[in-house]
Amino acid sequence: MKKLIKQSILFIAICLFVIKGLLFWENSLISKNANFQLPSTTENVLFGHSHSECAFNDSLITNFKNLSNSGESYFYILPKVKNIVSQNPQIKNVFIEFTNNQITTNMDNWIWGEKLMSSRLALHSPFMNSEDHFVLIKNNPTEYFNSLSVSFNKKFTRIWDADYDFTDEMGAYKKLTICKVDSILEAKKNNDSINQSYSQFSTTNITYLKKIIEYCQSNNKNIFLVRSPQHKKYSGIQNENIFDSIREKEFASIPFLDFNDFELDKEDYADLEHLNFKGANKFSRWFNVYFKNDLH
Amino acid sequence: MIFNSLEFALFLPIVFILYWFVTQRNLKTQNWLIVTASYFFYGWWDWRFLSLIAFSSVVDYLIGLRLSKEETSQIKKKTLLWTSICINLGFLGFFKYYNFFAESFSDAFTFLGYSIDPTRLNIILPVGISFYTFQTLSYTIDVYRKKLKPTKDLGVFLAFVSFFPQLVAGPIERATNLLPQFTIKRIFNYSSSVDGLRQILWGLFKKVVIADSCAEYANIIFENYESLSGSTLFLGAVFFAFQIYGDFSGYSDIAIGTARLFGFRLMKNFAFPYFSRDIAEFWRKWHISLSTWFRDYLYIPLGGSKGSRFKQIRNIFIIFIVSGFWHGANWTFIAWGALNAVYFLPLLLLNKNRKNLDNAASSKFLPSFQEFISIGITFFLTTIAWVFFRAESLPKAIDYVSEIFSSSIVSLPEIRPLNLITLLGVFIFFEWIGRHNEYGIEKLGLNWKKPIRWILYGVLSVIIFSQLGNEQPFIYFQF
Repeated sequence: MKKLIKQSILFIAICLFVIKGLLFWENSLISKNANFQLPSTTENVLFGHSHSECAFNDSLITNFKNLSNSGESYFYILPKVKNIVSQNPQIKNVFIEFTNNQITTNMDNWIWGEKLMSSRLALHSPFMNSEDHFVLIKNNPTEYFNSLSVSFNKKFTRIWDADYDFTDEMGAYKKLTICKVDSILEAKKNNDSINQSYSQFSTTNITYLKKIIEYCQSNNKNIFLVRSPQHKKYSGIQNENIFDSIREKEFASIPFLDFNDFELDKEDYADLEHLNFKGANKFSRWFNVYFKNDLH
Repeated sequence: MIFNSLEFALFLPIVFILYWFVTQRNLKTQNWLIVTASYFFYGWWDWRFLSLIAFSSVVDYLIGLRLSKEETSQIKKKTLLWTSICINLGFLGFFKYYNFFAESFSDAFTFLGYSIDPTRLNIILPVGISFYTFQTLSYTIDVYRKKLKPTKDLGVFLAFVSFFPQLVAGPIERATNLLPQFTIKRIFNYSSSVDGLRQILWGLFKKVVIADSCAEYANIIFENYESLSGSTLFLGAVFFAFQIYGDFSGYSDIAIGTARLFGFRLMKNFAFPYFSRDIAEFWRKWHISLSTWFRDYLYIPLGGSKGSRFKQIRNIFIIFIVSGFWHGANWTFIAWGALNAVYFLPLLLLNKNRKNLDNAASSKFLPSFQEFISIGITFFLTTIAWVFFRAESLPKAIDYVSEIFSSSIVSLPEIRPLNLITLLGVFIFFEWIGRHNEYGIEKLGLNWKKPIRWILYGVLSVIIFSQLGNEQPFIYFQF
């Protein structure tokens, strides 16, 4: 019996070693060849989640690239920022979406939740360090193991296809054509409950925002926190007091461009938290002028 | 807890060590360890339903004891037997079939012009209920038939009903085979355990790599069947055929292999059914534990193949339709069973149902041309029947099959996953060369040098790891 146990442990150890080796090989090959180069005219980049993804139409803003991605937390934005900044020395300004829902515990689900971890890990794991991996293992070991497998497979396909271009996978402006504000407000009338998760905040996500800021500052980039326009009735604003206190306590030295109260019509919203293309065009044209006037 | 999970990867070695190192000196303690581990394994999914297994087990244990008493009269014994049948099938009927019957009665009344509103219940189907119900029923029936002496040891009986490797998806063990194994001291056997590990590895490969990869495409094709050509739909049905085979036979391999680690021999559940040369052979090789259960406890008591032609045909339809219905409360399963009965009937009427009792190409490597064609036809028929099994409703299944038999069958499929088709080719090759054995790689590489053999197992393990993230639920868990 001891022989069986010894042999099994040896076999599992060899397999784990081989898998670890293959993962290391994949990661080093991808990180060595990865291309994050943006057009040389791009001097301003924006990172964030779906709010900024739908609000900033970068075709209307000079030398600006919207790299926001739906459902992306600061945890996964950090490796993205590192690669973009390191491969694009022409970048001068980095804008980071900082809004009410990004401090909530929902962000923890965006980091290690079942739904998002596998796709994010497949994309960003070659650029994550052991500390980042530990955060995931610690909080959701089962899903981490599954995501590692998905990521192993996807990275292998990437290497097989010699596809090292990440520029089209980093995020972009998303054009929404819908307008559901009326129906949402109607539904809210009947069910206007307070979401408890708004009163609790994600320390992990906030920690990673600090890391992004530190990295940008150490690379002499101007950094701005940005809040995209949100509808007045958006329930995420419930945590405004906590949001303000965190911003003042943790990020007081970082300029905060708050467009929460930006004047828009009902028809400019896709829903209460996202602009549709009409709203995005209005806002982006205005932002372009505002930015050219040195944010005045 | 499912076999291809991190939880099970931790659970199994812990139970193994406790079993062989801590409790091996005392049989009773070892059995109670199995009971505890099995209840933990089951409770991990939903602890509330543990009470169902416990209740069902205790009832059958007590009935078994009463059945064996000399002073119990024949009428009383029959009453006890029917009590057990009613309780077990009552639970099964309630949890699995209540909504189906309520809706079907409502539809029937609507058809006759009376409108009734059925009361639907929001019932969760306890995982594995169809499996352990049949297992515990086999005990009571065998004791009643005096084929088996009842056990007085409650631990033995609870362990027999809840033995975790086969608790939720079989093989459905007979009390005559499994129960006595709990009453004798298990002795660790190195080569048997190594063989068990090999079978687990092959089972995981079938489940995680073959079934889950096929599921990805089968799901896409079945969900979008209305807009796809007949050739694509046929390919989708083929993918589903391999999905269900890889899924279920893979589960059985893991279950049998796991049981071997604990010194138990479970019955073979699959014997390379897709190499069958006719439907009768297919049914001798597919889900053997269920087919033989129905044969022994339903088909033979009904008269089997004895009696008039009408009776023979009736019995065939009953067994296939009941078998279909066992799988799920949907007309699609009944149609699947009936279609298989129709396939089987010509063989019965021509007395050819026991023609192919050996394996295809029994003494050669390659099959003869005739065998090859027979295997192809049988696989085609089976694949068409799987459409009914997989489809969401009977009309959808009929539409799907109609499109397969349309002129678009000769077009090039819109979806052609060449990687998967190549993988299936390699898989079929391994299964073919291992077709005389218990499972595909049982004898593969046994004569090779250890490092080379380990490379084979290592490659399989790495491939399994690479596919683990695309996990799909085990199909048979819903039954």
